Amino acid sequence: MQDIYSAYDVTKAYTTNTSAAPKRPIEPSRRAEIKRLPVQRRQPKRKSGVATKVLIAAIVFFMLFFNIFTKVQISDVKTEIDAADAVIEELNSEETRLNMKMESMISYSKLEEAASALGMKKKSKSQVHYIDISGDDHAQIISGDE
Amino acid sequence: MSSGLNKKLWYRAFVLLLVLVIGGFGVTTFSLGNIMLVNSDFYREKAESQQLRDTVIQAARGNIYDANMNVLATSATVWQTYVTPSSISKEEQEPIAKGLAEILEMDYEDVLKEVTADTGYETVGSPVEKETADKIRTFISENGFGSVVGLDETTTRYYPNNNLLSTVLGFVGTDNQGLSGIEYSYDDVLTGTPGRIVAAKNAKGADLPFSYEKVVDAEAGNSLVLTIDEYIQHVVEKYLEQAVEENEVTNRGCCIVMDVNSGEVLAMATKPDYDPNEPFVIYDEATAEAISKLTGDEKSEAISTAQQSQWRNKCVSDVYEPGSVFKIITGSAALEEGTLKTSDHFSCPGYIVIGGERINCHKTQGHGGQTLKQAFMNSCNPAFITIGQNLGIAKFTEYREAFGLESLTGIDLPGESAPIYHEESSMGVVELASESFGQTFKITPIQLITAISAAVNGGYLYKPHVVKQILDSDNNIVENIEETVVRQVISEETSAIICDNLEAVVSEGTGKNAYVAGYRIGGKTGTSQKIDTQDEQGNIRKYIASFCAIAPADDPQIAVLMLLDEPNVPNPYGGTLVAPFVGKISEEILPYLGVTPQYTEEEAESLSTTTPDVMGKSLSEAKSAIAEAGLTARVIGEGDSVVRQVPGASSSIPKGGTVVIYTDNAEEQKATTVPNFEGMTVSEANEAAVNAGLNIIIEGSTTNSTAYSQSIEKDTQVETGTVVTVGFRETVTVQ
Repeated sequence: MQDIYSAYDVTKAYTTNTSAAPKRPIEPSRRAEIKRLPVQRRQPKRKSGVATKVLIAAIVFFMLFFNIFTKVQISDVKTEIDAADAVIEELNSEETRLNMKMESMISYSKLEEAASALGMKKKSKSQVHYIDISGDDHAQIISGDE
Repeated sequence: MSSGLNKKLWYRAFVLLLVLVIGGFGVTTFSLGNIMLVNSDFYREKAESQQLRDTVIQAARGNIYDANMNVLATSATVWQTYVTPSSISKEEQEPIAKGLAEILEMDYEDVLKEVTADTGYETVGSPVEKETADKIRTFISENGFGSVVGLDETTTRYYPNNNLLSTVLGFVGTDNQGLSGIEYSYDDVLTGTPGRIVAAKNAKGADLPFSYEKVVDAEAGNSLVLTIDEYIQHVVEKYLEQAVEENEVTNRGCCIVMDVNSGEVLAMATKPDYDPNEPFVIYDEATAEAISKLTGDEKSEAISTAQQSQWRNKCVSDVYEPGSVFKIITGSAALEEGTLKTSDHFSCPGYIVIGGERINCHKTQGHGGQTLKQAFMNSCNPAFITIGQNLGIAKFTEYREAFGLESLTGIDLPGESAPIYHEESSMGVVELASESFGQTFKITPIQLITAISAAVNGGYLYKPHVVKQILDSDNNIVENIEETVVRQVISEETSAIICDNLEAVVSEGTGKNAYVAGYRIGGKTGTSQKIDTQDEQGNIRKYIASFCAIAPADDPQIAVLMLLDEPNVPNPYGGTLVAPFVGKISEEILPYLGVTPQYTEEEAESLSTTTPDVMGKSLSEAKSAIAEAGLTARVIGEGDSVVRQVPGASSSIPKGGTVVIYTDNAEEQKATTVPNFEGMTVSEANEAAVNAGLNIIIEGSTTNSTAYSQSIEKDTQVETGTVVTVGFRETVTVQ
């Protein structure tokens, strides 16, 4: 059996050497073979179209799923962020409350009460010595020729 | 025929269909028109509420700081418990009420009342902090009450120093709006702009992601920095409270400390006051008890009156007759106008007759002949009436206005009261006479201290203020509030003369009880009669005792004005009751403000000294160290080394005092009983202390004075050698 593809030896059919082109007319039997060829080529193409459609559908489905999944994820994260914000606000508030509680515990009146309970007294005038550190500006040369 | 019937049938069918179509579409069109045009707002709102979550973000209220950035007021989140009674089943009512009552520490019946109310929403109790809120959350989740019990987030205001500065700070209401004090007057500054979150909701009512959310951030309120210094305020409140208690003051007392060179208020207090953390509680026990016996409208009215009274800032909202403290103003005006000279002499026979009216001096036997300085020192009424008469009505009223006593000071606090006085047109010589020594007109304490500051600072009248800076939420300065000079009222020369005379009042006159060793304090006493409390017999039994100090007198930095309204003790004189407390305030705040004491030789001599540390030393070394410190040693025991000393090392002890030292084989420590020094003169107190084996430190005025306070209570058992500080004050009539 003759190889049907031998006629389509691209090296021959598309040779640039025009002088090498066949001079004989193509035989009818070969023509028929040539006509059938497109039929033979359409079959794998149909198979490829379905696959593509399936593939596209799968991609679309995947994208849709991915989109929905992403939105669900974002929604979940947003909820978590909101919850975290609420916790932060709560903790900030608690910090303020505890700071205020601490401030009220170390107010001047409370300190005086505590010091008094411990038998402490305020410094008397005799225990305070004022030192006059004011004076004229002066410079001191610590090294050099002069 | 059949063709005609068919046609007719078709026609009818067509008409019916047309009617149905038109009717159907008509209703639909009508409904659409109703929804889209007539009730569009209603349906839009309904759709928005269904699809969108619109939440208001509360703006954080600004803080209030003292002059040194100590927090005086701040806000934080708290939670308000609520129930939805219409959704609560009968079986749920009892467990909910019981659980909430237990957690919120409320009466079960009160909570049950809220739970069974015929409404859709009821708050339970007051807002709670995180700890309690967590307990409520656990209670809700454990019992599945999530749909009928909940917590609403809200904010509360904290005032960490409780009562400190309460009548000035004020407080906020449940809606976070300032209701009193600075919180009220600066409410628009402290309150920020609320923000909003508009977010799309999903089927579960939860927020959709970011792209469906629009957030308009809340703008936090600005913060305030006050001119008030927390430490000075503490000192003022401590001594004002003591003064009010010791003198059984029935109509409250108040005190202001002002920087005379800027009009900045460094401290402002009214006692008794309240805690702004719980402003609606009645703090006066007697009033609270009386109210508890009332019912209905009478009770509500009494509660309201008592609350208004305790919130009132007496320094700016109450007018009073200033009495002799006002003589500073009369003297300043007359000196400035030249109708009074420092060389002028006055005669006081104990009274003066003006316009046929006899007006007595507080010293009915008279002060005799006196110079201007002596007139100030004696607080002589006839002398100042004469000064006022010489000045004349026109000039008197002109200076009264110039000193700002006819108008509001404009202080940045709410509720400033307007003065009450005789207009020039209605003033006669008798009114001039009484106003010259501070009677028959009324001004506020803030007006008086502002005017006195002008009289002593070189003549410049400043606008008083309590806020010096406005900060944004990041503490960047938004606005600096500078001092404002209203006008110059008197010259610097006149001002210097006034200061000199006021110093004499404290060093030698009626203000001796405000004397502080090492400081040049000036001042003026005041004892005013409350003329509007005169009874049918013409007797006036209610007084206001006051004292105004300036310091240092040679270069005034501060003025301190304290007044006690209706002290309930004999001889309610400003010089006796108020001056000692003003002296104590000055003694504590002047070193704090960096004013160093300058002792005279006499003062330096009488200053206390400090005990040396002789513990563990040999007896001879200890004796030598004690003698070197100018003290006397008293040895107890016969050992060779010191195991104990009284007073301890570095204690304050009067010069020449005795240090008791115990040697290693000493017997029990020697104890002694503290005598009652009250009413003793200085020499008597010294003698009593020596006899008891105690060291005595004398505080206050020592001439014509008697003891009125002691640091260790009488009959207390103490070790021999212990130091007792005894306070003395002049008790002769000092107005």
